[in-house]
Amino acid sequence: MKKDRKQIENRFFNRRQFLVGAGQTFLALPPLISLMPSLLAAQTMGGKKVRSVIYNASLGIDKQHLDPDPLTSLIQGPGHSVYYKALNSFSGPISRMIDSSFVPLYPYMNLIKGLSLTGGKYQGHSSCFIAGAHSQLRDPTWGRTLDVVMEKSNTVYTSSDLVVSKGVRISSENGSGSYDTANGIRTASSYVQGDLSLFNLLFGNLSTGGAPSQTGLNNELIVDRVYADLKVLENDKRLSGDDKQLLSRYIAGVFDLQKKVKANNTGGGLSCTKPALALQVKKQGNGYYFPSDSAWGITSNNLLFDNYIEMIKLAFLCDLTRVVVIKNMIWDDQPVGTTSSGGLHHECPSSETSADRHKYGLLKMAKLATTLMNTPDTLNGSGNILDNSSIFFTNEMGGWTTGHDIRNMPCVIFGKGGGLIKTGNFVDYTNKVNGQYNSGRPYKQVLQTLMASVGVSKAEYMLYGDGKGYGEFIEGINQFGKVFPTAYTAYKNEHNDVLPFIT
Amino acid sequence: MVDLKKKKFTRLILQLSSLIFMSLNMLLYNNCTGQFEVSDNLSSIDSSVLKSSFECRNSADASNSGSHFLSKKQYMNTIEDLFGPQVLADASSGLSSLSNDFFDEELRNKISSLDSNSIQAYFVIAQLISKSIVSNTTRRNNVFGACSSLATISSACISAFINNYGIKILRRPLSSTEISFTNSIFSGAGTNNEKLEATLNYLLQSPFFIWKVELGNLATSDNFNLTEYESATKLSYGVTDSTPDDALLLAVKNGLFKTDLEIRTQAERLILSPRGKSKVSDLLLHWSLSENPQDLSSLPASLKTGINMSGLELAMVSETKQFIDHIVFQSNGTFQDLLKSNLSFASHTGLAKIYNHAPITLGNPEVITERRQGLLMRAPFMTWTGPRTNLIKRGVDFQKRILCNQIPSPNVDIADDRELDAFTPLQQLENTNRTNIDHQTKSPVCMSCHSAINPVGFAFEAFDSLGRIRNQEQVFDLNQSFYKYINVDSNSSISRPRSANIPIRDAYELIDYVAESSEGHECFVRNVHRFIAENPESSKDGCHLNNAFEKLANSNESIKSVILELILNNNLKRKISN
Repeated sequence: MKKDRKQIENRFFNRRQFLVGAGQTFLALPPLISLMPSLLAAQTMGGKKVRSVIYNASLGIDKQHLDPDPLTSLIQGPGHSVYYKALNSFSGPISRMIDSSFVPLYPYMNLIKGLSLTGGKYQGHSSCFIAGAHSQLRDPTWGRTLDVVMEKSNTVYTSSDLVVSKGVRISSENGSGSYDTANGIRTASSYVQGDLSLFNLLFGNLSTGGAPSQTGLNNELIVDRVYADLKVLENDKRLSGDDKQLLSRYIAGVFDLQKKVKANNTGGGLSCTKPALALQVKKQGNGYYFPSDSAWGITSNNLLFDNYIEMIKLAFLCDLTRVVVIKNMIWDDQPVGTTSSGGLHHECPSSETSADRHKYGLLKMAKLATTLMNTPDTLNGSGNILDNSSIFFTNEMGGWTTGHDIRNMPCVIFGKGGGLIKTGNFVDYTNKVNGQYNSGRPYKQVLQTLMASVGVSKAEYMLYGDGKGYGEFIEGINQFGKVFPTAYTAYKNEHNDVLPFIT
Repeated sequence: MVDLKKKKFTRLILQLSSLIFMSLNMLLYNNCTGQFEVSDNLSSIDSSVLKSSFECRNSADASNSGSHFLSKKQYMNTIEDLFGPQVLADASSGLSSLSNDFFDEELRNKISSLDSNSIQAYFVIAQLISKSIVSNTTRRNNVFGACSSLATISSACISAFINNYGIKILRRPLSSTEISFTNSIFSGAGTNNEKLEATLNYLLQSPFFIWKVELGNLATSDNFNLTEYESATKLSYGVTDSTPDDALLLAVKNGLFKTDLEIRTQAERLILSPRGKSKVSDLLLHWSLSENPQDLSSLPASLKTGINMSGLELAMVSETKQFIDHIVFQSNGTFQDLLKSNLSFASHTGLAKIYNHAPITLGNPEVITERRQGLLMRAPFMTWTGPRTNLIKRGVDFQKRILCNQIPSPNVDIADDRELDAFTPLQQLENTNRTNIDHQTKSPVCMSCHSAINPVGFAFEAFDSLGRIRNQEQVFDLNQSFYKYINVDSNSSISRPRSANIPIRDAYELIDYVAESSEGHECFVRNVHRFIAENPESSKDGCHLNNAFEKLANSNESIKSVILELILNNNLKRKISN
């Protein structure tokens, strides 16, 4: 296992570096993809466009409703800290939330147990968990959520990519939970609510045919000029560090605008035209009372999600985006009423209702996964879209015997992430040898795995966090009256790696 | 002006009381979990000369390191001042997509949205503006000159535009690259109108229009001198929230914006302009928590009996603005005047009734005879949507804004604990609001912050949700029907961690404390700095913050003079590279 992990650490170089490192004699002989480690293969195959969907919700899931019960017949994986069982070897429903309807997805799915936010003392609603940190009260200091890392990475999106929106965030709440941080100040990422807003974000500027107008051509010239002006400014040594942070956001925004203006004129080289969809929502904008406020005009949340799913599929096919975040607090099909949005607080422990509510979201992600699995990936030229995507289902809280836990976070992954992610198993990372406290591995490793799957290098994601790597890593636990100073010490040297066994 | 004898007497009383309550306070704060962060200044009223905690290390220091985008307000003012109100109106659909930016009190930093959506909004707005201008002959001739209406637009016509409106828009002469691109638009394809629109589009999307970017010229290793155009831009937005006017740009062009005296002359001119006065008004409305009175329409009818509610919320803000204008500009007043004046400008019958005087006529102010004084005891801050005052909100807002103490938002667990400790709805009917809140926040974890929050809220309990003075609280049942009267108690104390609590009879004495203490003066200086500089104060701001504090607290200089002190400092002319 140690050897495997070492190999993974050393995989983070590009094709050119690999070839140079392999020796000049191999320059003319590209290595056989099938013989390469999966991550290196994913990167070296070059040009593969891998997508990522991150679904996050609040209010906790009681793990007994998501985990297999009883936990029997697990096989010890390579290395003492991994146990697994093939999903198709379970008879009947795996858990209350994963019923038999998931069976067709088993080959494309992992259910993961034993990933924890390493948090020392604090317990509670974590607003920065998809940045790999738990500390709600300290969240402004925590780097970037994984979607923002992906969005900003120059290896995920190159300057030649005609992507209309690098990161798309859909929320049923006031905020998406995604953010960037600079100098201790958090910048929340913008998000959309409703299928009309999502449609306009993704497809609003697509060409409807015909020659571009002179105004359109002028616009293209102007935005290109503005972009060039900004790039000149980027190299100006008189600009302070604070200003450079601002400038990077500015450049990213103008970059997106360039793509939209080009798409508006000529289709921008994209193979897409505006799809015809029966949109559910009549209103645009953001509102906390989504979808229960009647002004949105929503009659069915199922129809709303169907439109989301169709648009995500089309956006992936046309490469309009590769990163989608769905922050969801919709629990059922009814858009109006107390059970629809917001839900109950502290419903985690042993709540059957809670399990059903979270199952609603999981089923929607399963439906998205099924749709992507059944759609050939014409963009990448082989396989289906789910082969080259991942859908990550998670929640702000973990759970054992009480709510507000930051250990054992709910994790379900659909998709093979461009070949990086091995699927088909229930995987238990709980540290059974340590035994003192079954916290398992750092949760941030699954985020790192997802980032790596779309092409973010370890060196890059390590830039965003507590200075010791991505997110936050604290060795000890001091929680619920239990003090274990070495709970995560075993992972001290590997918490910045991708997850073993599934990669 | 304040009577100095009275001032000294008040301080003596406060000093004596501080000794008495010292031990009690120390006990209280032993339970604090550390979540309540106090302002740096605790010296308060301990000496006859007020002292700040600002440390002046090097009078040559400049802290300015970051440039800001135009705030939404600055952006709109700029468009209106450059092109007129109709153009601003024509751009309204695009402007609605721009989110408001604000100064985060907890992070102590300006939060502005700069992402793909806002960049796209700037793009749309630029198109709306250019279309509005080019499609109207008068507006087009104003911006581009009458030569733009000719069949062929000459290079002289373009050049005149670049040297006139080009400089106004970018707030400096255009670079050779910008001139070259503008010329290329005119030599390219399209109709004259398309070219004129494209030219404006380009300038309005330029980073040098949207962003008040400061580059400067290298002075020493990490110090840069701002160009005179950059300084003029900083001065203009600092004083007026708008772009430099023609007189300011002309002064720069003619080399008359170099000396401190020349710069001060411009600043003193600008602060008296309508935009300058408006910015001072915005600043003081913000500081006094008076910007947005609550919607009072849901208050029970019996609470509103005899009060003309029509347009009352707007009248509250309007009257507060008149008060500010009178104190700052008409009478060149001081901090003491701002906090202790008993004048009212309420002409609205409902507001006049709340302030307990006849509506004013002919603009002549009335004197308030009850225990209400100055800017911090006006109605907007007191208002609440329900019949029971929002005691906690009053306490938190006041602690944060007026005393500069950091009160973190409770996390959900603590909020839950608070709910668990609350009286039942029926029990609450039998108690004053104060008793209910006191009970609800009694747990040690709550008290770590509420020991500071509640006393401020208690002091304001002599004011109902309309901001009207009361001796009794009207209690309403769950159906909003009148249930009973209960006497209110506004006796309280000012909590000062690691120092003595100060007993106060009511909010009137709380305001006395703000007006007399170092803490109150210092926090005001901090607020003005943050509002104008759009930055939190740093250690390198110590000198000019202290200078402003001295003028405010010990030299009894006018509010206007103190605001100018906080603008006319090293940051106006220099920046550092971090």
